Amino acid sequence: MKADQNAVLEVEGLDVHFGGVQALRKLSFRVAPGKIVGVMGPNGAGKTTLFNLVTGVYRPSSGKIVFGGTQLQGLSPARICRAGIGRTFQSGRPFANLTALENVLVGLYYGADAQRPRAAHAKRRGQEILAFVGLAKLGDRPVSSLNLTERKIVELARALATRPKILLLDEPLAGLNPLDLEPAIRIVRRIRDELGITVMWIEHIMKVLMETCEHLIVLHHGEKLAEGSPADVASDAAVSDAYFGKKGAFRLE
Amino acid sequence: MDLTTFLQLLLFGIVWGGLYTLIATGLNVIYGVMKILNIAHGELMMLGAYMTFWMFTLWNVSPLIGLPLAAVAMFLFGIVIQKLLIEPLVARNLSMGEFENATLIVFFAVLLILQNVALLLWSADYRVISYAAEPVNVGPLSVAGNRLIVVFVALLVSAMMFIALQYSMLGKAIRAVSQDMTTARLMGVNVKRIGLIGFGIGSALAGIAGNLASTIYVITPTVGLLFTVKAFTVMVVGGLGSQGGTLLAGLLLGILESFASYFIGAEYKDFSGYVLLIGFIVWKSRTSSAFVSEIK
Amino acid sequence: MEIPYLLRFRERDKVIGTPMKWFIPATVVTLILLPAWGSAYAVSFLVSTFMYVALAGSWNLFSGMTGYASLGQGLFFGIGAYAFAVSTVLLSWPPVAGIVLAALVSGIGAVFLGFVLLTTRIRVAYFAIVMLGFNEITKTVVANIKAIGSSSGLTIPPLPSNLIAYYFLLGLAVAVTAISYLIKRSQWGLGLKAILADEVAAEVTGVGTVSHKMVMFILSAILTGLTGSMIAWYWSYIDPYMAFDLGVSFDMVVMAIFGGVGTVMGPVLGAVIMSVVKEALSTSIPQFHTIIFGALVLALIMWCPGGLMQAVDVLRRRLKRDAGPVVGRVER
Repeated sequence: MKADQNAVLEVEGLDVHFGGVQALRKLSFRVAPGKIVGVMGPNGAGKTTLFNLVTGVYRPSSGKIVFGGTQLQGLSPARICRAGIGRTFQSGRPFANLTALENVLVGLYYGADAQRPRAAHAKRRGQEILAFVGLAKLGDRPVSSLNLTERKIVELARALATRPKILLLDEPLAGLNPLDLEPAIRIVRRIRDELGITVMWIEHIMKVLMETCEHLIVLHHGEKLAEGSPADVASDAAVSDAYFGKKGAFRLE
Repeated sequence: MDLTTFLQLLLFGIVWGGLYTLIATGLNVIYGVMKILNIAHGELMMLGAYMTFWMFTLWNVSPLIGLPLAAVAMFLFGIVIQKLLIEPLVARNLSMGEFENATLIVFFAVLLILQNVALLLWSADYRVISYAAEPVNVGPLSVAGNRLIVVFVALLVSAMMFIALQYSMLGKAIRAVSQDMTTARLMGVNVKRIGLIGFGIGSALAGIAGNLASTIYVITPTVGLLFTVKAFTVMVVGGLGSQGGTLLAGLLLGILESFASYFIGAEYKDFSGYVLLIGFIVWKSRTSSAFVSEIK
Repeated sequence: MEIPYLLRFRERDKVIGTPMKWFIPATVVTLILLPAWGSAYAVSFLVSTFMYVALAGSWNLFSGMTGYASLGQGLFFGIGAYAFAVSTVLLSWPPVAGIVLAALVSGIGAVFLGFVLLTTRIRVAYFAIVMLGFNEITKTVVANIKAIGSSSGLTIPPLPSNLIAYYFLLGLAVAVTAISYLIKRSQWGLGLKAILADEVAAEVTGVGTVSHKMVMFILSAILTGLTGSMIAWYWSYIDPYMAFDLGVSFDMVVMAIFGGVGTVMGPVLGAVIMSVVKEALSTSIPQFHTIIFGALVLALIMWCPGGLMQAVDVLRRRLKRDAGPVVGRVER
């Protein structure tokens, strides 16, 4: 499926402070629709903060966030979700008091207004989404009985259910055991290829980002250090300075 | 307002403030080690007060001597509560929400039971201890001796607590558990024992506060809840876990009440405390991240 | 707002077991007919039981379903009581107006408080105490307003018949329970469960947390206020210490949690049991019955921290020897 060409995410001059610490400084970039964009940087660079700002969980001190022509800064997270921005969390946060299917149902009921299924069809649509991510048999299992990988995938399914145009994935591979990595990466690719959803993901496993992303944004101390294709970024002097000069959290596999 | 009145009000405020700091410190320790809000804390204070009263009335034991006795008795009582009621709940491995709900009910039940046992045994009659009530001259002011003792002891005990928490092994263990229970456990701290001792200490502090309060205030079985809320106010305004903050907040509350009482009316004494509490929480929940549920 | 859409029911949820489907209507019908042959004592006992059910259920509607435990929900009970008293005694309006006024003032109060407190992600523990604080300051303020009787309160012309209170409160109790049931079955209810589990995750999934919290808070406040208004009339006297008695706030919390917080029948069970126990023990020395009550509550919560509904669930599983996974809990 082709991505919606209006689903352009643009961030301009984004600043945010927390109690005297500047977490993001004059951040600007543009995400073209239908791409898989990687966000990388050492711990504390501001990657999750960026996602929190785009999804409305935090408010920027200054700057603009524009998606599909609408200005997002200052809007509530729910409103932003309905505008087409989906998100998962680093630690995997599905609703622990619900079943896998119920998690997906929340996304279906509360997501973007377009194509919201009617009550009768919702359950079926939910099952379809679970099947897409490979959890077809786990629908009625309470999330608390699932392992970490399954929980993170339920969370992903829930985000998909909100009918996003762009999906922000915060370290989806963190905590997964090595056998589950490939299937997870495949799901991300399919999300872009088959569903036409733009993907922006934060990851620490460089190899994965280099292989799957068409575009990379590197953050460091809250500022954009570099941006470009994987080849550009890999050969960027500032980037290698930042990484190999410190004990980075990066694994070059 | 003339200087004498001002100083008088200030002194009264400090007297009560010192007491509030003491109670709040006890509540803070319990919250720190167990992450539970002991809404029956005031009842522990009430028991300390009654103990002091009866020892004084029946056997002529001076409240000063009664103080360490009340502290020890309440320490043991606190350990009993922790052992019988809290440890079994901890062992159940409940979710955070369930555990909080359950402990809320447990302490509420303890509150009901203690209050009513006190009512049954000692009736609702107001009890008063008259001890060192003769005025003492402090500069231009004339203050009852017992009030001075209360300030002195309250501040002394708070200072001792602070030193103990900072420098003793036990104190460091308590602070470690308060900050990060899991890591503390991994570092070899016996979290269960710290929980017991923590509750005991908190309880002992409440007992001491009760002992002191019994000399300057009336003693009734229902006096507890009010003090619990005041202690909570001090905890919140002072910042959970901050000793210095608790001291400042305690004094602030005491002084605020003192002046509010004078300017608006005695009925509004507690009111001013509540306004402080609510105003502070509402303000902070909009500006600070510490008052807001976590996001990561 | 998505309200009309979200009130639609979703897949049939096992909210109440099958035997309840005939038991509940049967009980309600019995209660409707009871005054015809029951004694005055039974009527008065049931009046307070209905009051407890309505109060526990109202508390549960907001605090149980969103997780924002309020330790001062009795505030609205007092507001409702005073609204009724002021309207009937000082304004000489008919009682119906008093009841409507009670609902109105409670609702407006909830809107105000909701805007102040629920538009932030305030921590639950702080919210709980702030509500308690509001209860106390309202008590103090009311006790100092001469126009409404200050601490001596107001005397209200009594009910022409206790049956008015009986049927009104029965209706309220049923309404509260029915509303809980409908909400739990609806899509809105699923959103509430999401908020209970993880408010931020719910937000980024599109759940309007502020609107959900506000609606439930206002609903809870209005129902509590209505209860207060009728009880004021029933007592035919109120003063600030009765109307804003912290015991009311605490009872609401205990009954709901004791019965099973967040469930539909939990608050009902909790309320009924508390009412029965209070009544059964009240013939002895009042302090005695509270002590025994406290001990009972303690024993129960130690045995079954999830409340009565959890105990019922456990028993039901034992009876069916269910091999399925244990019902999930909210994660730490």
